[in-house]
Amino acid sequence: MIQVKLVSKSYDSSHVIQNISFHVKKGESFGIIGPNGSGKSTLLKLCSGIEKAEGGTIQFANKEIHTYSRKHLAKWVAVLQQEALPPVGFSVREVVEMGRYPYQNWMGTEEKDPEHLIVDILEKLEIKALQNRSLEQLSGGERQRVALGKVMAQQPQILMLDEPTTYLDIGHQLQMMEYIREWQQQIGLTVISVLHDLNLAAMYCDRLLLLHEGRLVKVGTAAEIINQELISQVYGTEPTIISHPQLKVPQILLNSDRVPTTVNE
Amino acid sequence: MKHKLFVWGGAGILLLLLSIVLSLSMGSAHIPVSQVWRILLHQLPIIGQHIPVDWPVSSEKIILQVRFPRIILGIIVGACLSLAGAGFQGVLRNPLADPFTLGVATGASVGASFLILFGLQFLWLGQWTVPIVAFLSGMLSLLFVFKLAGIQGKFRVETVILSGVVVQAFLGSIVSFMITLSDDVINRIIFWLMGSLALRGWDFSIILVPYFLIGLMVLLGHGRVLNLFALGERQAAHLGVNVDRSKWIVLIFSTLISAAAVSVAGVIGFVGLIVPHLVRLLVGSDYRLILPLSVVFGAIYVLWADTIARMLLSPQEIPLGVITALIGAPFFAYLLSKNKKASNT
Repeated sequence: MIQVKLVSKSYDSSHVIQNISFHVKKGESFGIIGPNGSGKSTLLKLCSGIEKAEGGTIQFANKEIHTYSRKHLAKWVAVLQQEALPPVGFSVREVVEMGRYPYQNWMGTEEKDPEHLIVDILEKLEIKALQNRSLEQLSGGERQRVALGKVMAQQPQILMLDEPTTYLDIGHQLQMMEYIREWQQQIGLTVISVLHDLNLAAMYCDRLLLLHEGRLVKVGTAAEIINQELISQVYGTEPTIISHPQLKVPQILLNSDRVPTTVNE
Repeated sequence: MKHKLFVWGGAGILLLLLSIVLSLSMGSAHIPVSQVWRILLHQLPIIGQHIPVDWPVSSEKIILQVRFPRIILGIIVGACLSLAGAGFQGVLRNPLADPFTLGVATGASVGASFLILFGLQFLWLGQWTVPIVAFLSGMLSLLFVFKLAGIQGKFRVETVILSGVVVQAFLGSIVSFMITLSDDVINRIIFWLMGSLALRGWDFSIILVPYFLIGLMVLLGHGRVLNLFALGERQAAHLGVNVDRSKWIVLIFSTLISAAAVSVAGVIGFVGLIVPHLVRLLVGSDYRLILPLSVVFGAIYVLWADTIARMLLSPQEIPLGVITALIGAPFFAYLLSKNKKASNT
């Protein structure tokens, strides 16, 4: 589905991404992890075609990504960002409908009325009751769900997530990831996500790519990537790694040098 | 959306037609509204034949040859300026952007004053020379503003207005310098600069119409894109908008129609700032509504401002730019304070 070969990118002579190659299969959930400044977001910007790579090639379905027009590309790839939507005066429904932009002609209409699709999305994400509310009046969690609705209306083949759960509490984080997983399983969507939270990454990604200072360290399953040696090498901290009792994936517990104080009885 | 456009657009157009008829009847020679109606209807094909002529010839002459061309010109100028303001505000995501705060209007007036100063108005392209030169100098000043505000080719939205004000002050002083340079044409530059629709016949409307229509078509076609811009440029790019191209198209055509308006009517401030703002308060943030409604309400605004300009100290004329600013500035202050209160509660 996506083939990335020897891609590099630099800003002002500092190399942010160097010679990275990987591929993502159709229907796969692929995670990109790494410490701050390792180039995760830049790599995602290259893959979504919003910035141009300096060397190497990125292909969707065996076709170089820069040969697609912007509008055509938007039918292929949708991106859900960290700060999803600014508090503007549009209603929930209007924002979800904006996702149809790549399918509209210059008059703003489509061959097939998208009404049914829009209502479906609003119901699925439980934002139908809010549909006439303005974005300014929504909470952070609701706003992020509207952003997901807009991305769903775009009907992409590939969904890219740029730390979409950063500003959410654990309940909403999980809810967001579950909505995406359900969508993925329904239509065989390919998901590439940049995640900060290694535990979420281990839970929701089939394979992970570990980045360090712009270079690829390793690609593999969560069990292969999240181990004591690699994590301490890349993140510079010695965590305790345990297996999730239910899901059997590695989960990280952070350690501290501080000696636990005991309370005298 | 369509429903809202229909209701507000319909109301706006009715108000505009009513304003035209009322304004036609006002002036030093009073002509009753009913007579104005009949004179206008008489001009229409088929219906016109059934209306008996029961008015003096002088009335018909005043209406059709003096007041009507001036009113139409005012309408088009108002439509151009507020449409341009809406375009600038949408693309820069800044409610303070308009042809004047960005230095475009003053830039255009530098070009036009230069031509007036040296008597070159009709050189090369005849009556089209002034608008084209005004567009070029307006565009140059816009580029300069962006250059000043920009970092590595991408300009920061926040600093654009600041640079605009600086550039505008600089260009304004160039215009003043040109005025002091020449004694014999001083009044012409000054009066043109202050903005006036007086003694501008049909010719000026005819010059302005093609610019207005082209700008109108291009900008109305970008309503949806400006909506996506409101979510941020990166969001818009991910939704399939060619961000840089759309941005420049909107900027160039907004500059084009402001320069055209400036070159026929001088500097008329506050229209591009207030009208889109007012429309936004009425109908919300949707540019598919803001753009067309700004055209209608901008036309009404300038029409009434010009009516006041020619009526208030009649037979003396007040410069139109003085009236739009005198009404506009306090009205804008009122909108701001009302907006603040609304967002506090």
